[in-house]
Amino acid sequence: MNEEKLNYLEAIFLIVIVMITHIILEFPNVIIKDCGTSSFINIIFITILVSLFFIFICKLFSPFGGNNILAISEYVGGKKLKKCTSIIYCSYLLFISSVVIRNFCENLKIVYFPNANLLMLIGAFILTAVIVNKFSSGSIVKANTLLVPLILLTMIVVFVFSIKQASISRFLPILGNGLNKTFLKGILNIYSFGGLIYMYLIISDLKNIQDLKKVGLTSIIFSASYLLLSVSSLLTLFPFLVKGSNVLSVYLSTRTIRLGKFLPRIDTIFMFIWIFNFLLYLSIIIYYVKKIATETFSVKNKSSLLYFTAFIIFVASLLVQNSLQTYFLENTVYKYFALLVVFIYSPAILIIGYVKKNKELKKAKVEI
Amino acid sequence: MKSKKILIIMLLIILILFYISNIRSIYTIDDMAYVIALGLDNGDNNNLELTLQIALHSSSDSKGSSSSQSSSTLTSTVDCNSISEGINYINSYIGKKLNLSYCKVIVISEKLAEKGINDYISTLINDIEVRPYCDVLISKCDTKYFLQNSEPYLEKLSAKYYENEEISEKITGFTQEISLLDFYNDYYDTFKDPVAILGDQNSLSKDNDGKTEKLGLAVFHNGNLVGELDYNETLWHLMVSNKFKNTVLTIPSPFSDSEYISLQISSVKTKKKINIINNTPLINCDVSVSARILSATMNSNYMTKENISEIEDFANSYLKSNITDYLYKTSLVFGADIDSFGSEAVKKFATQEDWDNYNWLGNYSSSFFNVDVNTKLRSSYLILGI
Repeated sequence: MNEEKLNYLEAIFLIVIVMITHIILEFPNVIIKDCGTSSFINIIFITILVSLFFIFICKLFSPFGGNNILAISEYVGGKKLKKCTSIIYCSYLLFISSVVIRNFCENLKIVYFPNANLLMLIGAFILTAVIVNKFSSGSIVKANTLLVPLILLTMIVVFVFSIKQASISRFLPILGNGLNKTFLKGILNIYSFGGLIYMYLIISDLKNIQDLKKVGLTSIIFSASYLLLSVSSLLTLFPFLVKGSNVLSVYLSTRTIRLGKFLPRIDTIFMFIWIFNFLLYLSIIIYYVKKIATETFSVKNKSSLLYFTAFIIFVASLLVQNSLQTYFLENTVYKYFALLVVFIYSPAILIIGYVKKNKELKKAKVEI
Repeated sequence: MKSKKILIIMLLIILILFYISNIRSIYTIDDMAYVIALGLDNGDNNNLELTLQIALHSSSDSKGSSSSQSSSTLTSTVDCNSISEGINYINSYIGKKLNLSYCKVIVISEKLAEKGINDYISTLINDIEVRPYCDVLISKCDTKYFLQNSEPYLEKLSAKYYENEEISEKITGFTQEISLLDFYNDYYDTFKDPVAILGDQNSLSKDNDGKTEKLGLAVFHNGNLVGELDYNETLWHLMVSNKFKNTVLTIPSPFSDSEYISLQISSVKTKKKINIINNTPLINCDVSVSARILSATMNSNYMTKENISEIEDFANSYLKSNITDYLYKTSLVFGADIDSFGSEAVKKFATQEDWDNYNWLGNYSSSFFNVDVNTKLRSSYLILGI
């Protein structure tokens, strides 16, 4: 992506795919469990908050031109802080990618390959992501731009075709688990927009830096719509979700789709499309880990770095012992990790950098 | 050099794909046996009796089986502790892998349903092979008997016969298509209680052919079978729950004691309004019915202004009395809200906690009903009488 700068649409879809991946796996389930029937109010609420947060972030980025968070870290605290930021970002990306790929492969095994070896399933995903990264980084972006509209369309299809089974009254009581859980504790659900971490990195890859605000806000709207549709269909279809939990949230909705007697079950078609989604997700993560490490630690042999990144993801995904652990890591550990990195640590660096830059600019003006 | 690398990578991928596909464990169609109906009953020693109706391949010889009920299926029964164990037992002696992907109906005996069937339903809904749309039927006779005698009328395939509930619901309104997903959802819903299709030996037909019928509904509360609705009560249930499609209803004639008038009812809309007074639900049902007269006599014309009004009034009081009786039966006898009145009542509560504390399904048994019926008659005559 260094070779070719990202245009407006490519940048949006790059962020959207990351957020959608998490929505397909867990987010709707977690939000429904937290807020109950008021989940859709919570989503609207956190979308507004995240949009405001992002406008604020854009403001903080404005004096730095096309610099990403790594360059700003260096500006704020020298090379040490840059290294520290890089390590935090790489750990975050490696952690979540290994948990996500483990979770998806376990579900894939249940639905598609009951007799397959989990190790080989994970291996196949990682190997494909390595090959994609090895040959061309631009191809990730192009494939992603082609695939994201299709994935967005699948959710609309799920929503439209499952609506026959839905019961609107399952949105009631309107305040679900109460005002506190919807609005106060519910604020923590902004971690659903953890994919915004790429906004801190992508700025240096944008063709037009002025597009940053538009790219961010459009990605938030796309992701929020996808989340809203998936939560709405789950909530109106499955009353047991309010008190229970499930795996592979959106897949449940696809099982309810029946297109007459000739196409009684089409759930595997969605699963097939999502396989590409997860491949792209993994490719993007590996690409960014490679990019961060190269930028910070001046790695000369990029191939070795690529293999090493893939190896870490592979091993980390095998460390998880069962789906209960996967669930805990994805819904509890990731939640606080995302909140810390995306909504506390990175804005803190930006705020310090912004203040420092303004002081310098004022000083320069006074000197002139 | 680059092409060599590509070649190595490609070979690696192919090897992995072969490994993933686990080629030794792939089942071809000849290795599989497809279950079209699954039956659960009380077994000996208080365990489960599992009966499976399995479709025979065209190449299979049905004569070899002692238990086959029709040329296209084989019925097999085992005693077991769980559904999965039972399937495994049958796998062992049929020498094929049973597959539930084409299972059309889950038949559960009345005796077992009275004890509670939640665990079995949860097991089945979690099975990736079982379709969420396969029907749930409660059999008044043994499930083994029911499956062995579910020989289709005018059909060669049993699987197709099991799909006929939908058609029956559309034409007669004497039963309702209840899928596994509907049943499971209704069980977990705090607004309503579940119902299932009711099956028995044929009672309507005078042919005495030993065949089975699907007529009426089985009513559940707290996961246990609490009663049943006959085919007339099923009609009132469909009308009140706004799921009614079509039926022919015969009511006594208001003009003569020995005559009956057949009405084709094709549209019913029920508006529900619920007030909670001193923790007791007061339920108002406003039922609008659109009907056509099918009966005709040689010497009278029902389609005069006065006669229409008289038939409408009579139909109103007939429906009102039957629907009111039905509703009190659901509340006082069953204590089960099978008409989803709870989905209206919930509008009066702000949070889940308030709603849970009120315990709608527990309070439903103390409900009062106020039913109002408004019938609109239209003619379906080609030739009017005198």
